[in-house]
Amino acid sequence: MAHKEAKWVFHDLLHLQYWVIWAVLLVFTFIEVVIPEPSLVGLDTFPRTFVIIALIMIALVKTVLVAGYYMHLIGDKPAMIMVAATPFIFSIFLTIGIFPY
Amino acid sequence: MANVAVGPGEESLGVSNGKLGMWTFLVMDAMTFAGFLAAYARLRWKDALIDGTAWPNPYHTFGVVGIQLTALNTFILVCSSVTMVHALAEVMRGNMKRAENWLLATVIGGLIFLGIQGFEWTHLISDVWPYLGDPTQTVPYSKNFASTFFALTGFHGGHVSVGVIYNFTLFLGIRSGKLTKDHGDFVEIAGLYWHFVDLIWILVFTFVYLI
Repeated sequence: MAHKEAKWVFHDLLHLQYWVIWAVLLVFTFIEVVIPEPSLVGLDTFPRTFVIIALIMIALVKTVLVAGYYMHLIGDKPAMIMVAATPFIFSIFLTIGIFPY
Repeated sequence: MANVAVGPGEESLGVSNGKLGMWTFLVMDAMTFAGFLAAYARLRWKDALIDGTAWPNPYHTFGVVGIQLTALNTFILVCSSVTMVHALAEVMRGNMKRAENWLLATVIGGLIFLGIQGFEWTHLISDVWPYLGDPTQTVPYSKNFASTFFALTGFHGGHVSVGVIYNFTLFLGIRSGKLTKDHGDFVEIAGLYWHFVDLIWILVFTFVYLI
């Protein structure tokens, strides 16, 4: 019985966590929209390199949050995390491979 | 939190075969999207001085309102992701009526996303890229911009459409009573697909609309 109650509490915490992640994703989305066009909030234009790096970093953080908390990869088996990470490793090699350096 | 839902089916590697199968599909699908995004980056990597190959600033091409509309679409997709996790949580609790409502909200979110994307496509084809319908018209930048835009957003939109049908099927299953709290695995697997669609949109939105 105690175990069952603990499970309910765990689910309630999970609900709270989902909303926290949702709020963080929304804040990041707002920041993403502002970074390329800072005049929307009365700021000067950022350097292009900063814009690109900042946008990619935010996108990666958002991706990790969705995969980790909504797709429940955090706490999942290491083998599953490795399977899920495969496309990212592939995409890095692919991008390097097709660029005319 | 391993294996959040308990459902029918055999297990491999400590997870249900259904979940493992969906992950395998998603890995393959992610590689396809990676190919699209890498090709987009490569095509964009052009000498701006070569006439007709310059890449436009997406923010200027789509306009501030266009970007904000797409940001709203991103917001809707994120919201539908959170409704999906709540649907799964309610199934695990055995509260099927609430799960049904959350799933319906997820389906509606997907439909709104598709509606806004359809509106955007119509505007772009008729107003921003008129050469698509009239070969005598032209634009002062690389036409690969429109091609890669439609390829990426269209491929993603196809995934959203499939996700809407998938979630609606589950909604009908719960509504008819064929899916019960013992079928949490089914909702979890559908959730994996739906969150993946959200995850990919985060990358598409960043690379195609913002950078």
